[in-house]
Amino acid sequence: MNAVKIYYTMLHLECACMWRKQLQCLQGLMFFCLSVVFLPFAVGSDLNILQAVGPGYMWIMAIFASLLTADSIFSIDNQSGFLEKTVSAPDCLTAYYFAKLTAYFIFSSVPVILLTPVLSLLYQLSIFTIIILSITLTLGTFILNLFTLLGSILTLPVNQRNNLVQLLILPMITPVLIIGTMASYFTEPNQLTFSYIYLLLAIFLVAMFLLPIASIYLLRCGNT
Amino acid sequence: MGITLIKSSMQVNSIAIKQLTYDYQDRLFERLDLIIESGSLVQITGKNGAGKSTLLKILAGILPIEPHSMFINDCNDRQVFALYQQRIRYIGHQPGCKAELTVDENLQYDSVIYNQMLPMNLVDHLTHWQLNHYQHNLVQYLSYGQKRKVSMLKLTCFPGQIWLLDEPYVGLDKAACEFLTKIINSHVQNQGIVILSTHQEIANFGLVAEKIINL
Repeated sequence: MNAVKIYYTMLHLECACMWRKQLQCLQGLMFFCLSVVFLPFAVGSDLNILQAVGPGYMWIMAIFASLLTADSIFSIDNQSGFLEKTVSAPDCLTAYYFAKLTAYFIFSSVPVILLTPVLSLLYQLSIFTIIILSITLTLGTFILNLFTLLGSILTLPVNQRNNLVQLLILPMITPVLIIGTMASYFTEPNQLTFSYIYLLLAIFLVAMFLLPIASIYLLRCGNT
Repeated sequence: MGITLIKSSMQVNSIAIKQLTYDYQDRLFERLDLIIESGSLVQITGKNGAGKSTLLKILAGILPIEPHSMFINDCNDRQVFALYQQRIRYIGHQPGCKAELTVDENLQYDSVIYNQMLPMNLVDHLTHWQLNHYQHNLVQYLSYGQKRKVSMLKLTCFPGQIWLLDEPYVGLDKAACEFLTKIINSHVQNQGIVILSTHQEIANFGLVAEKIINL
């Protein structure tokens, strides 16, 4: 069996796992929906304020929403002894890592990204802002997920469900957060918007290259 | 150089640990030496906390050790170690199956982990472990003993030369214990290596250990 086929089989099974834990995955989505819907109640229905605050606010809430279930990514496998089994067959660790990454992205971030345009209508954001928001969020949450996986591997030996992962990751992704929110503040096409997006893309490419190497190495080193 | 030649058909003839010192909170092993040859059944005994599970995890490559203290076929090359790891079937304290997947899906996962196709006569394998009625049940609803059996399935479904079993008889019913004894004996006869840790007298199960490592 070649690597791609191994990856697809693992992805399929990981997605089946996530699908059977729907309630946990819905947690992030619910959090995102509620926090976005409730903002006008807090700051008033003045469209000027909402349009000024909205994109950045949605960005931050989307990031928090995808962080909510972060500590369970590898800890369930660790407690059930599944991780040990995977580590003792080291050829498949790379496929396992990428299957986990993709499944986590699909179930924690994609629903949030898909809901963003719909919820943006509440703040009457311009079409351009919505498009930029979706693009930056896709890149941003993917970078975030790369860091989340690294963080959840690092916190495995602690063996307790706590918010250590979030504490560890938030400082690391603050630059991404700043760049992402800056990019989505403009209401019409602007030179600066694209330079922010390129910057995000650059971070994405660097993270996509470096973080899997670090994470797989940590997994292999017997962090269990 | 010669490694590429023996790649696919490499047979593990001996596993040797030389002068291993290992700390896990306390010092567990001090200059431990051991040699295990193919076609042998090795029992690891020792009191609680003596490091039985740790030794098995070291042998499985789950806990990393210094590269010059473990030798496979008198050779401590990384490539040889990777080939050795492909032949390991490790069963730890935890069953090691995914609770959200069915028995069948867990086997599919194992088949990609061990890079072997699912056997054609899968139902026979399931019947040996009395799991034939549970093929499409979620593992989370099975009992502890049944979960152990699901993890034992990989011994027969995906053959590997080295079996590392941590307290294998715990939680198994009488029929399963007898079947486990039978497959361990035939595996040892076929030049396999079985290393198991247990407190119980394995003679009671009908096994004869060629070597007992007392930690």
